[in-house]
Amino acid sequence: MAISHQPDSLLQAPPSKAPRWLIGAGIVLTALFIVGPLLIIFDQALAKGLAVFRANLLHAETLHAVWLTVVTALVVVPLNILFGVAAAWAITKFEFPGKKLLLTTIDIPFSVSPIVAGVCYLLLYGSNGLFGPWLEAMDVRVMFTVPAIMLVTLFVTSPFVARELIPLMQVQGRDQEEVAATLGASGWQIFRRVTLPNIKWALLYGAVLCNARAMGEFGAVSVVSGNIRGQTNTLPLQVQLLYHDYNATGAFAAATILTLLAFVTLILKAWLERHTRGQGGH
Amino acid sequence: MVRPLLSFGAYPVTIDIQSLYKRFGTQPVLRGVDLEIGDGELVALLGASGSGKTTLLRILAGLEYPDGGDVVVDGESWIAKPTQARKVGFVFQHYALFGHLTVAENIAFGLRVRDKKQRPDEATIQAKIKELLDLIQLSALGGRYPAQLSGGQRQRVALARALAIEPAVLLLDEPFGALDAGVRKDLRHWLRDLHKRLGMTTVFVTHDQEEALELADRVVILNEGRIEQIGTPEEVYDHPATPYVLRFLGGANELPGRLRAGRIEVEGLDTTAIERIAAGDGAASLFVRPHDVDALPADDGSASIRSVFITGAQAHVELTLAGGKQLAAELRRDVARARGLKAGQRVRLKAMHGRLFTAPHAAAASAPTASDAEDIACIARP
Repeated sequence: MAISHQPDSLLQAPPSKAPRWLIGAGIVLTALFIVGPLLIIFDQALAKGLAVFRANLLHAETLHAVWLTVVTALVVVPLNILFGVAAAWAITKFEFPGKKLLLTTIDIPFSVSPIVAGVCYLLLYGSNGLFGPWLEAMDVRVMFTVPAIMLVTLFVTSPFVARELIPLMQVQGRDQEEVAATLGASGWQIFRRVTLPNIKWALLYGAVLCNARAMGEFGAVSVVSGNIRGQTNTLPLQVQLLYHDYNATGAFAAATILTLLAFVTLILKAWLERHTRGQGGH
Repeated sequence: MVRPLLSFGAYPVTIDIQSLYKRFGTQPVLRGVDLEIGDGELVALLGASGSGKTTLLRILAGLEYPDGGDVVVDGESWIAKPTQARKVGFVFQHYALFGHLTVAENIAFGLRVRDKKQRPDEATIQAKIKELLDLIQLSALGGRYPAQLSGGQRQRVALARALAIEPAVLLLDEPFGALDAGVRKDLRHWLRDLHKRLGMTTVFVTHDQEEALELADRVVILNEGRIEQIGTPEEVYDHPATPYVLRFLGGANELPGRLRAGRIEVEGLDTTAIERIAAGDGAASLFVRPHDVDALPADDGSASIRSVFITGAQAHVELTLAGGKQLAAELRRDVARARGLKAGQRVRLKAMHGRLFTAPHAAAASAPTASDAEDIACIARP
């Protein structure tokens, strides 16, 4: 148990041994490829002054895109938390036929290009797709609507929570759950009082990653959304749209919102990483 | 008024295990196990890994389900009874303490998860925590977290947590397996005393013969899913029923020989101290424990010493018999020194005490019958 703390101390090895030029190169590259582009976003967004920046941010279509992005995340993240916990719980605490297959299936959204995922949904639910005619007969429209955006986002971000939990729960084993059962705890009590506290930080970490991807997803959403202004445009799509309209300032203003969301995610992620590491000790 | 908390042994608990079968996939792990455990008994399930001992324990706890057979506790079948309803105190080798709860809350867990109707009030819970902390001699550490405790302390907390639900049976899976040798010995004595005080029916699993012989009222030796022998520590050590038991307990030398007129003959070994048995002539195996082998220096001796090494008061002597067979002997260190035993020396060997099994037993698979396992009188050592 104590061994899991060792990597930490290894990471804190004295930095003085690293050659100066290596550190210097790291700083230069970071500035060039990460800090620079970030600064450009804010520079461009504010190029025509604060008033224009404000107007761009408060533009009805941009506001709608923000709203749609947030609503999508609010629907998708809780569903994927449920899915991730259920899948990880099933895979790590029980033996059943088809377990390996399920484990592989969970990874598909990671290995498939988001564009392909979008096209798959189009081929399934579009008017020329497999279920398209049947859905049209039922007067249900899936493609180019908000539910379509949520569906593909759900698909693309589904592995995050499960992938975060499975390795942790595999290491933790079943002993604590079994002991809780001998002490008289019901299935739900075991989950709430034993399993959940043990995976709490990893779960939050997975949820943060899932949220970041849900808000930033472009490829899959662009295929199924239909880019209807003020209706099915999420924030990443809105940025692209504004840029194609030769409204660079507007595009960058919208991009600042995504950037700030990314910052919040990073801060949360760093904070959670500290906690998940501490938890590994038990 | 707080009622007496540790009221174990208040009602007798007997366990009747009837022809249990269990397989994992195609691998049989239990192949017909019958065992009766009396009230208040402390029983050790002893066996190598893969012998099925842990599976048997887990079936008793309801954590595993047998493919056939029955577990009857106080006349009631436990097979259909869920783990939660069995009231077994289960202690894992690696403690399985809840890392997010304090020691006190770990102990209280089994009380807090009860239905509202059966849940004791807060004062009773606190009193019980205090009593159990006193029992495991960790009164001052109730507020600590498991990560802040030593291995021995964690194991005692795990035991207190199991005792808190006033279990009908206490089941311990390799309870000392993860501990240092010193701590292990202390905890063993402590558990023995605790069992005497509480008197509850207890089954524990171990692969350590010393642990089983020291702690248990009865030892059950399992091999490949079957029971080889059941008996008190003295019985299984002095009268092992099968070669497997003999090999497992005390590591005996196994010497092929021939029976002639009821007497065993082994090349290069004086077997005159071994009593005759009533059996026909033929191949047989003589099992001699290292401390039952006596070695006397003699230039015409038929065996030679390969090496001598000393551990504490014992001298371990490794020998080669005339026929090339290897053999181990154990003498008191001062005896070995007085005789000047050293590597390269020739010695005459005598078996002071041993056990005979006729040929079919060499495979060690079949159960013993009265005719092929004969006790041999113990001859006093010089």
